Amino acid sequence: MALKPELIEVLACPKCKTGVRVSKNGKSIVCDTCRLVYEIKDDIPVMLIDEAKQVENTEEY
Amino acid sequence: MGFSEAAFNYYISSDHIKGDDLDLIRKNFKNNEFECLLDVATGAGHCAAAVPAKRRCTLDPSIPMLKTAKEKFTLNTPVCAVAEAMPFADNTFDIVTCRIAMHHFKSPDLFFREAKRVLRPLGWMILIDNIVDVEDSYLNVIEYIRDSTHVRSYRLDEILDFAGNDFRLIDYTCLFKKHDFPEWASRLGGEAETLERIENAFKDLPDDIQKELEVEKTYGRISAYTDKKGFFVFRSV
Repeated sequence: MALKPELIEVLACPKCKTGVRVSKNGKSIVCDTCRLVYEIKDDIPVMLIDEAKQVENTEEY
Repeated sequence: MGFSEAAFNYYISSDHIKGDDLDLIRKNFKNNEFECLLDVATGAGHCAAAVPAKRRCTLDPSIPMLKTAKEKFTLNTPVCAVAEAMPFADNTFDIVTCRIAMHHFKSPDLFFREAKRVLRPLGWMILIDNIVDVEDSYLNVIEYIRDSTHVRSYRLDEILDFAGNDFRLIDYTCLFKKHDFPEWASRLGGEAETLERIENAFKDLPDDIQKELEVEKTYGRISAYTDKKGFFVFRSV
């Protein structure tokens, strides 16, 4: 089961509070501003800054 | 055993499954139906399930807790996050709830600022948490022995300071909650040595503090105690 559209609409990066998007493969949540990638585990977005992956560039996500 | 391992214990816990605080929520909001609820540190979901709302979002740093809430109360919009860094856009919710959890937060002040940010103008916040008074230092030490994630139970004036100018206090009720000691002490699966330390700490309390906490003994063993829960209804300014 994918994340609900109404949840994606209101989700924001816990660090910068700007909007986020679902990654191309649907397995993570991406903040293009902070270049942080948040994992989705068992259909639950893990929006913990300490557990997010810091990437150089978010284009591939 | 930490919170994640104790998710089912929290679901069946007599301290969480029922209570005057849940009755107060139902009574206060029986004629309201909120559009969008956020339950912060939802645990097993008892509070989120008690509030009438069209959409309910649950937030907790523990995935097993969120899964338990989803399974037991059909709370289908879980988000793994902490109260001090909420992953939501501004002005999203019309009610934020938080029940028996703030004493675990590293920064309650930040939690209040985040609640204000994600609430719509004039949004509601229901906060239920331990309240301490003369027993402050004693009970906080015992709570920490039982659970090292316990940060601090606050005094009434401290909680009102956290709310600051961002919230208006609409209603406050002090509730007295009796705890079955063996169940309460072992909920997090502490080892025998820890359980003994907790019991001895209760036995060593000065008489006036034992009286304040209504400590009950059966055949020399601690069988129950009563603490205070503050039930706050705030509205964002």
